[in-house]
Amino acid sequence: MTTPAQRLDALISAQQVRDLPARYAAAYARLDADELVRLYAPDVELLDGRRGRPALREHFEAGMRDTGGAGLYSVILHTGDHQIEFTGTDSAVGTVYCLGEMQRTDGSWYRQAIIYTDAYTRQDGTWFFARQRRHELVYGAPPLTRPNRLPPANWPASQTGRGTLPDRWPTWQQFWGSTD
Amino acid sequence: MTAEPDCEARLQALEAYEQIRQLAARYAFALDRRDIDELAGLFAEDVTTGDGRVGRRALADWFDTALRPFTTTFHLIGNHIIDLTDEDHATGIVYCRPEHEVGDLWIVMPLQYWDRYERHDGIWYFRSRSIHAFYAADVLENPATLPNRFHFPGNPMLAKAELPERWESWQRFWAADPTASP
Repeated sequence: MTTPAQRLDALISAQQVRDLPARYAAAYARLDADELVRLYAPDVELLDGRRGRPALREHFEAGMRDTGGAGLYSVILHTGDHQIEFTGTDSAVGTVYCLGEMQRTDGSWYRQAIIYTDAYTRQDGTWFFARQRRHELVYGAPPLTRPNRLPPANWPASQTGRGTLPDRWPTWQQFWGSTD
Repeated sequence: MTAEPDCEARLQALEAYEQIRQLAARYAFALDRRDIDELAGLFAEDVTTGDGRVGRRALADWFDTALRPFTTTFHLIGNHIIDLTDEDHATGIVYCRPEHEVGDLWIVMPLQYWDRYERHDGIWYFRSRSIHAFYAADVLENPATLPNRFHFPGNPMLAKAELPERWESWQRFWAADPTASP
């Protein structure tokens, strides 16, 4: 039986988890790698298997200095569609939509339609990203460009091009009757 | 376990806001993944479809047809307003800026959803959703110069942009000064 105190706790947890992608966006815009990694659990697992905030900080710093041959100048991450599913009182998973616009130090500009897959954990009363966010593109495109006929981005190799979504979704394949 | 009556009502209101907010996000994600069973499951059991049929099975069939005239979609939502009518009913408005791949076009169609929600056995569902577009335009087009601000070939759900003209307050604002445009 869930007590009123537990129900209140779940509501506060949902709000704190919801804040994480917004804090991520704001910290990224400020190019504040220290603030970014503080949103992650101290024992955060990276996609390449490494662990810990220092390794993640290195990853962010490297990307800010050099994304496809130029540094990041302005990073506008407009997030929405936050779907949160609690798997325990201290753990949750979620997906987040993001329409990003990026300006690089070489003057180039592109937009990206991104969907993040997240895991969250509560440690000592604070909610964090439990692991490096899985970032998947629907597409990336320069201004005034239709994404339709762009080659695959193979992100992070390229910031523009068609992404792995929606093709990667099994329900998408099923809907269109793909046989592979 | 329930809290004292006064607190219980407020807790349930907060839980309603939370669940209803999730409904809107789930709808967008399920639509973009073309998970039509999940989509239909977000609606009340006795949902009515656009063509007058009843039930989730019928709604799934309806979505199966309605979601085929375009391929890749990306439904970014925000601005969710929720008004609780009573403990089992609510209404809402959600903004959405969906992008659609329509053949060689890439069409953006900013819109509002006008929603009704219902709670059954402790779970919130859509009772209904209607779509009200501001415009539909390819990413290379200027919406202001399109006929009726609407260019979306083969859209089975929508044939015109209704907003802002549909709002009575908007009409009143421009009617108040006959010398002004529009």
